[in-house]
Amino acid sequence: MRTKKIKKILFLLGFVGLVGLLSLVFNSPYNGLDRAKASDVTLSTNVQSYINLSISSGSTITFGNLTPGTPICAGSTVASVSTNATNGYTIGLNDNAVGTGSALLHTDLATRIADYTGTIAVPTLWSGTGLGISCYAADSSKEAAWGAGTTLCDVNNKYAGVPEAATTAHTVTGYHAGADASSWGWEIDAPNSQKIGAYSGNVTYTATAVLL
Amino acid sequence: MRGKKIFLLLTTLGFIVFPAAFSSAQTAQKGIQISPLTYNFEIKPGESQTAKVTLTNRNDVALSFVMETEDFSAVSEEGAPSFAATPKQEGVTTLADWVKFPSDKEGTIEPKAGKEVAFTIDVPQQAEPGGHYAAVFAKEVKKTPEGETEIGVASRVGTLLLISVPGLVTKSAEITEFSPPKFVWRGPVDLKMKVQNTGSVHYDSLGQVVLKPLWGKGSTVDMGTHTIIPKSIRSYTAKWDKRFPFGYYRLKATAQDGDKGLVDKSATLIAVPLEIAAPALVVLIIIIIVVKYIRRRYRVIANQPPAAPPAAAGSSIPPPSPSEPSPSSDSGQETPPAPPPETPSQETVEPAETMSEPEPSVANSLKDEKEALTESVGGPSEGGEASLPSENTASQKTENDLSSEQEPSSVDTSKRKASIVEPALPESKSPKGVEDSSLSENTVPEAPQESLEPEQATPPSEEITPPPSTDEELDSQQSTPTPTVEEMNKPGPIEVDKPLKNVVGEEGDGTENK
Repeated sequence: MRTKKIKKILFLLGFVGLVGLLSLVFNSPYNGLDRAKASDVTLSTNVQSYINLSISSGSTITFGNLTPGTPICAGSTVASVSTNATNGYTIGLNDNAVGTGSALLHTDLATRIADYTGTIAVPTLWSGTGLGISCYAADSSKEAAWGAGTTLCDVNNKYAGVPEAATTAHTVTGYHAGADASSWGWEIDAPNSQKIGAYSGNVTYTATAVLL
Repeated sequence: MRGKKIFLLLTTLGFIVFPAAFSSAQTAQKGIQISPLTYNFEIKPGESQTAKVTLTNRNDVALSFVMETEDFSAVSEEGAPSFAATPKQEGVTTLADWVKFPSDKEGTIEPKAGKEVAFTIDVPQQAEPGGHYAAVFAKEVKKTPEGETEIGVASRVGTLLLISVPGLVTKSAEITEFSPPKFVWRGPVDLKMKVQNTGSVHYDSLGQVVLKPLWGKGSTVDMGTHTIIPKSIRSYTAKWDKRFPFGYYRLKATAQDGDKGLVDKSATLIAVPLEIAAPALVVLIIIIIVVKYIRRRYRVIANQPPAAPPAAAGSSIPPPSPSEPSPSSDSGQETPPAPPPETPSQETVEPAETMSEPEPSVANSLKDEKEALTESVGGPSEGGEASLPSENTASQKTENDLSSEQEPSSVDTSKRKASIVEPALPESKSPKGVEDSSLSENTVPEAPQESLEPEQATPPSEEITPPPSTDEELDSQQSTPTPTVEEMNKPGPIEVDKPLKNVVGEEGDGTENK
């Protein structure tokens, strides 16, 4: 009888001990299960910086027939920039035309329509002749120098001739997710002395990152 | 649920009816792309460095491109490079010339495809130590339109190359401008400084501003790090995000040069947050007003006569302390100089018939008062407008004292009045020198009249006699029993009912009756 009782007690003690042991094993930080959970997979990548420029509209501007003394506000070009640059981006303009000549070259390959007299540094309200450009709208920080106009052909737009070398015309600082667009209006007039004929040429929009 | 359906319907309609509206989102994915944005190399003279750029055509059509290089020698304060052509000396090459494209500079990229373009920078042996700057561009080739007057727009994207050629280079810096606001009403405070690279090679410069108050812990504002190329100035801006700065601050702007040394510039700033200062000022003003009001009220209450009959109170009243401040001075009223407390008071003097032999001191004082009166009558009173009512008050005071002290009510009030005229005159210089002024309603409205007999309790205004303005008037007003100054100067008996100090009210407050 007593032996039976002792056996029972020993069985119970053994059972409790086993349960405790199992509990210790499963709750231990050193058990295999937890180790499998804790072992992270290290992922790493290096996101490259980039800049993308798209002329989303107005990649070709047709002025039509130009009557000297009657300015033509021809159309607009929308430049859209996407970049992950931390410090922002800048848009420069140039036409590779030497001196005061604009990009518009006569079919004689010698005569040019002149640049408008305003400069990118100091644009002016339209007055005079030549080929001029104005930034009339921008998603981010339109420069005050471009005038108070907000629409194409707004009389408050200020115009500049396009220089030979790439010159910064619009700068957006800071990080901008997604595309950031700026709208540029063109205006042209020619003096009475302008040679009759067709003129054509290219203007380049250059997008680069702003230095850190 | 219904809202969801409407939203879905509108979105679908939008796609069908206004496809152009959604095209702008797609345009961001078009154009030409270049990666990375900058390369920063140190290349020894005579050595080369190879690198590559990745071009991506995001358009739906194939894109023709051409690689170009262009120098830049300056950046704007924001960091925009300026590619404006700089005249080159003959025989001198620049970084734009050192960049070579081993393969063809031109090419075509298929739609939605990319292309790697490698290039090599060959630094010549005789390259000048220092910084050299250029950009590698990928330009979209666009056919020049013909036949009409029209212009084509080409796009170009670039990677900036910052090359330093080791050698004898300087990496100095200078803070050219640091002008925080001198005074601010509230935070955050805009901080701006400009740092110029006065060395010969570019470097990254960390800018900081340390703001140290006169007391307490200072703050440091990180202005960021900018790459500055030689001769260029970069602008650093930051905000000190303290909402309610308060006090005087010393600001020290620092910028690292190329050797991690520090250049600095100092300024000061005073900050008074309006949100705190204005309410605090209002509260302070209110506190001052309340304190002044309470003090004034306390004095008025304290100065009110006791309910006991003046006659009884007269002898038992302790003398007012000469050092006790005058309420009139508290209230800022202009008050003529107060007579000393020991000045002989006419209130203590019995009517003329009892003043046969005045005490010498009393007589002398009366003489002085007479002289003072003469002065005041002869010229404009110093007290100005305030002296007139005070004359009444003074005479009333005297009269009242007499009435309260002279128990025999049968004494004629006019007689008493006459008897007090002479000594009361000097009191005209003390406008508020009224004690227990039962006749003065404007000083203490509830002044006790109980001590007077009913027939004597006439309105005070009838009792008040205007003080004489000249000696003649003075003399004429004096009734026969009233002693003149000369008489008073004569030795004779004088009866003093009570100590003078008990009767003389404090200057400017005559109601002092403590």
